Amino acid sequence: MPFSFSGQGLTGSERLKQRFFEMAPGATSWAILLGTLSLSFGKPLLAAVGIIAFDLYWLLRLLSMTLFLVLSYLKLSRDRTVDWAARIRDLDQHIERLRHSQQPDPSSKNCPLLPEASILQPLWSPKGQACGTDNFSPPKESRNCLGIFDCRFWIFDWKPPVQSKIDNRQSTISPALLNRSSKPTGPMPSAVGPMAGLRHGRLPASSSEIYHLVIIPIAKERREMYEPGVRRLIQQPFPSSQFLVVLAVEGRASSAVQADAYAVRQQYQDHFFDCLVVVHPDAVPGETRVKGANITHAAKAAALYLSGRDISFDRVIVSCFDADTVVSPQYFGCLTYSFMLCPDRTQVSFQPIPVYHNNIWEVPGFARVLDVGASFFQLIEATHPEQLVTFSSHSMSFKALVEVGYWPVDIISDDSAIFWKAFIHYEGNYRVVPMYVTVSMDVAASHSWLQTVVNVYRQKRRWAWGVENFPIVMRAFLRSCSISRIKRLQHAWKLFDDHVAWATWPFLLGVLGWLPALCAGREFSDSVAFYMAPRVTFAIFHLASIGFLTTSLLSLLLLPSPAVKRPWLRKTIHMAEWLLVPVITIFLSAVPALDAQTRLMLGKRLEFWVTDKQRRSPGSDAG
Amino acid sequence: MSILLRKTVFYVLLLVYLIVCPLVILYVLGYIFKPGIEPGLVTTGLIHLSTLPSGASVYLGNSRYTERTPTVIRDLLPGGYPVRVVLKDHEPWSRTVFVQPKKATALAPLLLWPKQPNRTQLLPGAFQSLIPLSGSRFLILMNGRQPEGGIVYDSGSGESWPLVNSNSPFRGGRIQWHASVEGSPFLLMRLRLPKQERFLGLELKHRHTQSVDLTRLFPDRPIQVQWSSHIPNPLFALSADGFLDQIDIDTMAIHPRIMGPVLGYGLYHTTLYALMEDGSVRKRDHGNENDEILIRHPYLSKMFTESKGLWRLTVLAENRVLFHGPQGQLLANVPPYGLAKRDVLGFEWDRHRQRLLVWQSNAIGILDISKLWKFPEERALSQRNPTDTSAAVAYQAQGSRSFSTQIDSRIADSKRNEGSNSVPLSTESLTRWVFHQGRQIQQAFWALQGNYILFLDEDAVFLLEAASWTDGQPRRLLMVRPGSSIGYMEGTGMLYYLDAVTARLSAIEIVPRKSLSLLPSLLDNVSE
Repeated sequence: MPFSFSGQGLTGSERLKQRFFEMAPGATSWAILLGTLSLSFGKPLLAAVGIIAFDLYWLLRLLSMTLFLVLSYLKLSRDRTVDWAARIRDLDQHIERLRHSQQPDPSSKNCPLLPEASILQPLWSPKGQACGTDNFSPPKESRNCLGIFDCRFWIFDWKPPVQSKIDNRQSTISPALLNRSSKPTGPMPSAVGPMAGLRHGRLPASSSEIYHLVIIPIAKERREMYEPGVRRLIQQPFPSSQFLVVLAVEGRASSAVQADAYAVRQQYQDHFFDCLVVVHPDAVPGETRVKGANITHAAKAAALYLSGRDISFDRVIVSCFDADTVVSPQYFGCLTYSFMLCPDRTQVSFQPIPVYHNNIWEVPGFARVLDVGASFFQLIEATHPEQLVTFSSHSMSFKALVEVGYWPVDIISDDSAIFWKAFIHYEGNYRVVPMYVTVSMDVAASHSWLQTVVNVYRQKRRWAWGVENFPIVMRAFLRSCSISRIKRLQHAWKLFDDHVAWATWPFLLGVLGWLPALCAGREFSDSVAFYMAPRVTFAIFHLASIGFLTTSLLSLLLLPSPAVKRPWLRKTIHMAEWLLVPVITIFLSAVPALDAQTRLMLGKRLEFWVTDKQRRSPGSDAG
Repeated sequence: MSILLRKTVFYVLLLVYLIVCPLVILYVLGYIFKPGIEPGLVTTGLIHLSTLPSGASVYLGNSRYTERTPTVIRDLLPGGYPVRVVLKDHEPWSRTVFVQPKKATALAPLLLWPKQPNRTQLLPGAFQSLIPLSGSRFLILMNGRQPEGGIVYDSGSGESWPLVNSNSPFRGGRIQWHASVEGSPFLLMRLRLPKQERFLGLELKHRHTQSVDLTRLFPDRPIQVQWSSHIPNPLFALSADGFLDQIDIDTMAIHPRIMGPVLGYGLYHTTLYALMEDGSVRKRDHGNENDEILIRHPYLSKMFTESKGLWRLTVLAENRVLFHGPQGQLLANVPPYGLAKRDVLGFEWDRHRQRLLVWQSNAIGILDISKLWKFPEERALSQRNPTDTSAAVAYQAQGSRSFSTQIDSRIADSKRNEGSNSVPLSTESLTRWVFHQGRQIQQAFWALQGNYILFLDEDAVFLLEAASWTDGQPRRLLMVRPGSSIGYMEGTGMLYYLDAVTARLSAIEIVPRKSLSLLPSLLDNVSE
């Protein structure tokens, strides 16, 4: 669908719609807060009842989120042990066989593509029957026919036998079908199904034909900040010779910063396919000073580079990281594997789990708790892939990036905006695949405690500025006829609800919920509700402590061990830091969100602020 | 994650919410399900109990409640419950408490009286009189009428020092008269010295008294002197001819006859309120030479001008004035205006709950001012027109308990037309008599933030519960030196008095010391 993903330069009804939807989240948040406040004074009984109902809703949401957080964390911890290189190798072998085979032999047990229910059913055979080739050696942890998915996927991705049989009838595998590179028909699979890519007939390129374009934007960071990330690319199991690294330097960066980039390029160039330094000129008409403009410029340069070498974009995966991003050692293995297996790989983004482990133990406790919470949020989001939106460092098909017109050059939240842009461009046929591997970044720390507070506040406000996508998305949804109504409603509601909840829930739980009792006039203070409401609220919060306890325990498991004499003491203190959550979430989560929404509501803009990050240790191998 | 798993979790939790939420809300509102009783859902009430000191056992009938105070006894069917509160070394407390559906009966805070009250002798030496500086932490103790016989006692620190220095030129004089203002640590005295009369201003500070000779600021003997409780400057003196003089202590200057003739006056911060001879009430802000009329009402004017003597104006808040007349009348500047026709000896204001504690020689009552002030301000201001008689209010005394007022039917009609926000027009609904078996009530205080009343009746001190659910029987605490006063300091929770036998300054603990810090949390939103 042709649509300009921008809120600038609109006229007429589009301008009106844009303003209306810009005001909606902020107006709703303020209405909720002020409404609760005035209700507490005017109708305290009604306010108390409403708050009890909300608290119960919040409790159940919390318990649900805790459950999925645990499941997601289990998946993350298990995927850490996966040998992605081996899986890629196996997949390469099968792809090679598929390319050279004439017709699949239905009677052959060695053929993984037999349209039999037994293959598409429990992928894990209790008897551990492997049905690969003679030369196939499935990894130790897997037992199924392809040696790709083990029982974990049986739990999470297994289809019941009946469904598998239906699938079989609908998609008989044939070489002709395999070689066809048509777009997938029918509904998209909700996850990377075990046979989906192959079943739907889009034979992937082998791993040797896949390139990784890694863009690292640099605004004012010195080499100590991004060099560990570059080094980590070399340490990947995926051959670094297939990496094209682009250091996207802002033209307004200092000469020392630019010199650093060239020095890094010179030092590491030989390890990669190539390493480019692309300087983004300042004050380009039509652009604002945002990261999206810089990386778009770099991506266009990379496109030219790749075209010049006849490298097809559909075999290129672009990963846009922050300067401080250090990917996990398994990142590109998992990414490549997921890309290869994904049936609609050129219409998919791949979202890892962001963690902030580079300097996690060097920052004040409140910053640590906040950013661990952000990681947990992404872990939970990963369990709902149908509504997952890209965030921070992530990867996608370069073909898709080019087709949708690169990142927006006038929007601060380029990480989520690119998803919406693609979603709209492909009329809803675009999704995010969660990857249970981590990318590690820095916590926004500074030299002093107070400045850290400021930095964290500004960072969270920038994150919350993702609400700027809402009006653009809504305008596109209103215009679209091809995206299903349910999908539009689901996405619109989630986008709206997430932002409003972000700005209001901490206030409702931490402050406003207690107002009816505090401000009660005599009429209310004479009622049973005046005494019972706080008791019920306390009981709800006691139950909610299950979630808090689980979260704080999980954070201990997620965080790397601190490099101190008594790491257990440090971790114990960290558990106690979670008690600060009610206060921290108000001042450093809800307030920045409300700030962002209010600015948008009032038609003000946010200047892109390069996060000031400080790291005591020269380069972390976190992740 | 499996869609099936997610959907299962979603629908299960949705079902839980749809079932649990209404049940919880009903429970919060006081509904419980009683099996076996039709129709099953019944409304309940509760009793909120907190005691000073806390940790008392609660008995409901013969059954002991599991929790100790402070506690809430929930899920009570409407009706009467005999409640008994027991704490070791304290006298038990018991009442029949009536529970109403969906209502909370708050018995808070209950002061459990120790069997051995904590009494302390604070100073050696006997004294003849005790002068509490109301609203401050200081007490003046006098032995005779000479200033050198006076001692200042600081109830906060427990320290004491002479009222005047040993080399004070005022030694040997006789105190004829003194004036103080509630909440102010400043004291003004008129002393009779050989051959002259002197005025001494005393500012009581920590561990010493700063004195200043103000004689030349009072060329004539004033009838009354007042100042703002916040700062003792300027002073406003009422001369014998009824005019107000403004006296600036800092510059030692007199601004004579700034207003008058007046029948009485009062101060609120830096605003002067004066009752003029013509019956109008004017106000003037400090530094402003112009005054504005606050109210001029024919009924009030008649009451003011017909009465012989000075009126005392007490300004409770901006534009909220009480008038205490020479015959004990009590009036307000808002309808129904007349609160008492005569015999009110004194009153004390409970700012927290907007109530007035009033006493006559044999009775103590509580006047709920909060209902008075709900009357629209515009209505009160409209009464400035002297020709407007539609709001005239008639008075009718009821013997010694003259708190009743009847309202002109025209007012009643206009009130009905104004809608439901109209204030009740009869003062009967504003007052509640809590005690009327006194003999010679001289002083009364709010105690424990308005939940109790301490009063001095002849030479005995009594403690009375102010709550509406009590039966109004006071507890006699002690006897004091005949003719002496008492002082109560809410900040220390102590009652100060001169012992009946030794005449020494003594104190008795009314509020347990360790409970003092808990007071705000205990008393928030406590209903009467």
